[in-house]
Amino acid sequence: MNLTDQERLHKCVVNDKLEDVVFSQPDKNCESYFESVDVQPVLSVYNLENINDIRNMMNGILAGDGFNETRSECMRITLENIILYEQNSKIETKGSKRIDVPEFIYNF
Amino acid sequence: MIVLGISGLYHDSAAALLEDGEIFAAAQEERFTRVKNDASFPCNAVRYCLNEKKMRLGDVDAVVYYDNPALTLERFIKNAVYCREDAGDLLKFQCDSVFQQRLMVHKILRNEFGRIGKEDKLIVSGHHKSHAASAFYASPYDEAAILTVDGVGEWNTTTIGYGSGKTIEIKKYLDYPHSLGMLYSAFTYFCGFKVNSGEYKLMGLAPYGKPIYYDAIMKYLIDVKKDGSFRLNLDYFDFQYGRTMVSDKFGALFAMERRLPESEITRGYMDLAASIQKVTEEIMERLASTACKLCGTGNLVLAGGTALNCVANGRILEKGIADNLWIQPAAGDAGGAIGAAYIGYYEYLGGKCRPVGKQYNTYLGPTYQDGEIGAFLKRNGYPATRMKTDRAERIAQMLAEGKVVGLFQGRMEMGPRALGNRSILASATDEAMQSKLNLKIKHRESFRPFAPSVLLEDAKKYFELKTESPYMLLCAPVNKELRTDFDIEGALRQNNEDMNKIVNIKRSSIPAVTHVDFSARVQTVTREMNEKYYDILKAYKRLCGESLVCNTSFNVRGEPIVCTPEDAYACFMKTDMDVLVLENYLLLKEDQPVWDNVKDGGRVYELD
Repeated sequence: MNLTDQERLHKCVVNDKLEDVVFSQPDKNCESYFESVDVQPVLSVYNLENINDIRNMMNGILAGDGFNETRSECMRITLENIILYEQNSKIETKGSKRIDVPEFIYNF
Repeated sequence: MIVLGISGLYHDSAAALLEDGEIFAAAQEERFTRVKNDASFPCNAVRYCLNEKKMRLGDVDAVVYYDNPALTLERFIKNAVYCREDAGDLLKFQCDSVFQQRLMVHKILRNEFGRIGKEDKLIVSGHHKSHAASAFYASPYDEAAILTVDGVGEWNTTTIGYGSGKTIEIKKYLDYPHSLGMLYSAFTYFCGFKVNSGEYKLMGLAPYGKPIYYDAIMKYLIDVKKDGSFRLNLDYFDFQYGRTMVSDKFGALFAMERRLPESEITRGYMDLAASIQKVTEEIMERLASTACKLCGTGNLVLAGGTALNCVANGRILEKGIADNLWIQPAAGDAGGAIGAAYIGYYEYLGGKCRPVGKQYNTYLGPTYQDGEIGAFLKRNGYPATRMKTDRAERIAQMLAEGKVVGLFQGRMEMGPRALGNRSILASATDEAMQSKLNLKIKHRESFRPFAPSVLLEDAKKYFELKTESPYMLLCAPVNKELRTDFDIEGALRQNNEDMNKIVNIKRSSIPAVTHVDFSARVQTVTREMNEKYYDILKAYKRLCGESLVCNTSFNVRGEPIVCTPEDAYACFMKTDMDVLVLENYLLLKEDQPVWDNVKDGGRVYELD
């Protein structure tokens, strides 16, 4: 059966056993929300060439956080869309904007 | 050593070229494309910077982009996980900007310009590190606490760092979605202004209201700790879902609907503006205090879009939270290009220690010589006279006669403020000038005040200003002896809350630049910073005894500040400006041919 992305995501969310706290809410009991920097950010060379580079980069970024189904599904949707662009070889200096999306979303 | 810094693909794209530790050229893409806050890859700005040194991209020693696309992608995916069932559409919506552009920034550069620097590689810095560098390395301090606050970079929304010599160490941070910039933008949106360009309008609206919602905001929307760190209550916001800025609970909290753009601004929105402004000032004060204490210094530098809130900046200074305060004039994302260039020079190339104490020059954009301008005027048949040694006196005379003068001279400013090179000037003492400038020149909501440019040596005659303010990023009260009797509450009651009537009620002897709370956003002018502008103000003082004028940016509403003589002429002809100065050429409106906006290549700009 062909499920939509939304249906698949819903299934993942239902199946995920742990509450995945992605973003914390306010906590009246803590004294400070600041995080300390343990390792200073460093400059890096940026040179993604193809879909495999992107897949490896994404796997590397998310590897330390533990996977659950919802996250895996989000990765899959992301990679599918990247493949579409990869195939179209579309690189734009002026990005296209969807009219059903508020413009400021593209600013973040 | 030459480094090119690039920012963009979010909003306010820009490029900056640095040579041996000094920014040599910089400009925002919007000025070339004429698209306000243009987020497109800044090809034109890059081209301008390279042309200033007659170089190709392959000749520069390093090319640095101000943001790490890999970390931004991580944020998108994690945000999508947060959105759970709603993630599918969000990921697809953001594919265009993320995958076509942000992940492909190196490919865009190669396609447009060929080899990326001598080593053919693109270096990426961190977004907030770029902001921090734009503030610290451009400042006159050898060491300073650094505070950066914005909507969001890759993850960081706020950082505290310490700069010393040629190194910057980031010490503390807050991450998305907990963002003071987003909070302010949420209120900007709710009050009917445009996100990422309308925030300063909200700031201008605040003095009309009372902060009656301050407690509600601090109780329900945001938890702020003593050190200024904070978390948003995400139940009230919607930007995480990519649909809008606020959830239904937000409006329910204030028992209000979102104001539709261009609709009437009623008391409730004035009070919302006042309330969020008070919250923002308080958070910025606490953050500034924490930064100075943590770093053990009285020098503080600011950058990030929230540092454009000059009222909050003024409070930091007024309360003595920092002994010395410096704010990057291009504090928003455009300044990220400047920061990226500095980081490339000091961290990647190991550049020498920088000169300390030097005044930062923000006039970094294109300039046009008399020959070019003369040819433009002749080609189009636009009548003009060429001024000689009496230039300053003639311009001052026009201002003294009550004329509105478009001033186009020197190198274009980098950053959102016009500082005398792409400015519209007018008398600040004329009671009707604020209304005239708003309606007939800027074509904008008239509740917003204009800003004064004043000779530094005379600034204290007019304002309670403790320090110089060369970049118009500090607000200060108008001196009490210049004020007239004015009560905003009474005025609102008597005029049915009609701000268009209230704005014309005289509040001081410099009414055109005095806001309803007697504040002004001041630019102090010195000969060292801008000799031509200084001379005009001096001549004006000799003529009429006043050392200050209204200075508003040379553009109509929705338009970027003018860049070329063509832009300036079109703006001049579309408005009721009386005089245009193009370097040494003087043009009078009554002498000009009839203007046809369509035929003459003028543009119609979307309202901002």
